[in-house]
Amino acid sequence: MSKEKNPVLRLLTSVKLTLVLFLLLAAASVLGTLLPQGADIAELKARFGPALGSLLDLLRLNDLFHCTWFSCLLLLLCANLVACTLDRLPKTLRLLNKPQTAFDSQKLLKFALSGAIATALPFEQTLPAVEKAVGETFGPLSPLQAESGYCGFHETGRWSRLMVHVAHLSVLVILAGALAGSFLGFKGNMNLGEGDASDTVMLSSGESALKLPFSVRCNKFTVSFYNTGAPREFKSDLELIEGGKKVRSQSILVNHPLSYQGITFYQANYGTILKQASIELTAPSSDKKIDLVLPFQKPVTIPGAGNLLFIADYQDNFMGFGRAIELGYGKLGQQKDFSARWILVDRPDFHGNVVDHYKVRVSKTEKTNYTGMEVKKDPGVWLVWFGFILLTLAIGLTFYASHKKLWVCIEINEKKKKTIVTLAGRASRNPQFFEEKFQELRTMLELRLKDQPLQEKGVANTKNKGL
Amino acid sequence: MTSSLLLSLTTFAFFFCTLFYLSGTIFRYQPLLKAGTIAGWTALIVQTAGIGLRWAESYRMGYGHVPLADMYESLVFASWAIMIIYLVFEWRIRQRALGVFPALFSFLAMAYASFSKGVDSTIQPLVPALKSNWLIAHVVTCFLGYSAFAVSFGLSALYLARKTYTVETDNQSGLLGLLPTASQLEWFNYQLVLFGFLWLSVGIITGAVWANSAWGTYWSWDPKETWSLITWLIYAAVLHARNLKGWKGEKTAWLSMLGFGCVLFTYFGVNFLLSGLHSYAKQ
Ligand code: HEM
Repeated sequence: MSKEKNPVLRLLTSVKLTLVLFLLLAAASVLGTLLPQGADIAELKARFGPALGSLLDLLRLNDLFHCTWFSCLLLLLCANLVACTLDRLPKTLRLLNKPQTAFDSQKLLKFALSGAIATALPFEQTLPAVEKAVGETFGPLSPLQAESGYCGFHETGRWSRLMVHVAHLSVLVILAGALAGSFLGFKGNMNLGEGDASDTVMLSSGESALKLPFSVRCNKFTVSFYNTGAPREFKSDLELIEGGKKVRSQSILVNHPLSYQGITFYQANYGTILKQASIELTAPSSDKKIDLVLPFQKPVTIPGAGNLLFIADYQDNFMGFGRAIELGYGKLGQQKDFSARWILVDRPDFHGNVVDHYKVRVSKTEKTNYTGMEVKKDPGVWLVWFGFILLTLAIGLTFYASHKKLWVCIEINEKKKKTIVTLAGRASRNPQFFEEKFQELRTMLELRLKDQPLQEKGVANTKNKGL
Repeated sequence: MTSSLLLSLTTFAFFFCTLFYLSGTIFRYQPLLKAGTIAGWTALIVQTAGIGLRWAESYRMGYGHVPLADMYESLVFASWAIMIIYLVFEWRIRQRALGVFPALFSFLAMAYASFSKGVDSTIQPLVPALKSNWLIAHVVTCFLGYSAFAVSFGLSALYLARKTYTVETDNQSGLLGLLPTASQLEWFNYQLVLFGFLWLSVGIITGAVWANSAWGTYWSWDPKETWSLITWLIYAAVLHARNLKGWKGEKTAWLSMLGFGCVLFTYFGVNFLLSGLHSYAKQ
């Protein structure tokens, strides 16, 4: 692809776009934390006035992190990343595979970090001394094909050039994992009273419910407190039942979920709900009383009448009148025509405490704990974890590893009867440490190469054009 | 000996440490800078003992948890982390004149933790959501990141001062005479930003893994999460801005200072102004 001609490609491969996207995403996220997320248009209008409220709703600023334009920014960042990688990775790979070529001393002296030492030692003695000194400071020297004299090279950490690409790849992996999770998984919640079992999850998105291939029973729920009154532990003892058989029995706590068939149950919250109520029905004609115990939301037949009765709902304080149960009643087999009425438990004389034609008195209500669980399936989570590991490794190695190169040239200067040793080095990171080591090598060489009768002080040259 | 006594002593030690570094830099007097280093290491040792003792005390009270669980404890750890990152950095680069900001930040964190009415220093038991080994990993990594960014803020400020008040040829004189050159400062700052970015990334990641095991979601756009992402984006921008000619240098320095502003907001602003899962202040 010819990048120079195509302005779209040029834009997509530019770091400038990356920068703009980073800053735009940051700015959008700031808005997302300042504006009320999840507020509906009425709330927005009440808080910000009709004009601004409508505008906020139009731009979806009340659901910013899930709206289209925010996703588009993310998508653009991904495109930028992919384009950048396609643009640069081949160059990096070529660099990684490129064999090192020899440099002459003139070229080496152009390096920011370089130096030359002249010695009266003959070439045959200089070479082993240089090899030894480099071996002690940097590592073994590999000889290169040189036109004249000797040229050697030492290199470590070439692979660290790849880490930037791994970092970029990891971001794509994480986003792919998140995408997979949102399309292939689900998230919802399930409330279970003690002793109850269910296989239905109420999904967080919308009002729909989902049937699991197994059911969950909560045998016991316990909550304990510190003496300061702060909660100490919530615990649900769960049992999974599949095809009528118990397949798993485990307790869940906050931070200790239960996973089965890729579906995970998290302890989220708890509360109390009605377990059952004892009621007394009085028929209008006779004074005969019927006593019944109604479990919560389970229909019971009224003896002798054939009608059904059940508790549809319960409130601890119904419109300021205290406890109340919502009693549904109807004929067997005609579930659709059931009607319901609120019965005030704490106002037994209330004239509306009537169902069908019976007068109702509630003698006892029994409550039970329920446990609230998050239920989730996320097949993409492993990709996300994998991306996290890649990202950590890549940034860690980017910080830690450095691509270091050292060249040595040894030439004979016939006119002056000298052997000239030229050194040059370059490091992609931590130039300060590299320079210190480089100077150490130079000092060592100067000492060793002059430790001979025919000595002369070495000419040294270090240019240091900034680190 | 109690942990609160040791931590009070630490506050004073950081105060003197700041004074030494400041006067040493202003008067260009090396022995004062050395005193700053010694005060810094002393404060760290006393503080480490204080944190250890507080840990032991929590076991004696029957709560038994690492002292990283509330605002007070995290401020103490932040001041510890800033100082240790700075001192190791100082030792590696063999330059002493950069300690003013880190010492000041460590002192301010301790002073705020000790004297503010809004910060409760009594040892509290852990609520169920915090009972996880991820607590340690998450808090330690986040604060290593924040602390590196605090040091980077100081370096950026010094870099900008260096650029504004001195010419490169006239390095050794003037108020900023002991400072490294601007290009060295730029490189140091970049290294610290990358180091901080590494730890902030690990902090966000451990937080996500923890949230996933506690609530079943690794990311829920809670204000604290979102602000840590904002901070992360700003520092990612700093790293990439170095690749653009026009941005390297001053713009990058301003951007990394903005990044530290985001760190402060992630920590204080979100706790006090926005509500969410992480609000220590509300508990
Ligand atoms: C969330 C997304 C991204 C993350 C987490 C990320 C991360 C990184 C990291 C950690 C580095 C190494 C830092 C350094 O060496 O100074 C880096 C370098 C770089 N990134 Fe990114 N990056 C992202 C997006 C992008 C995009 C979209 C581009 C496209 C232009 C890009 C282009 C580069 C380039 C050119 C380098 C420098 C390579 C070098 O100096 O040799 N990055 N990135």
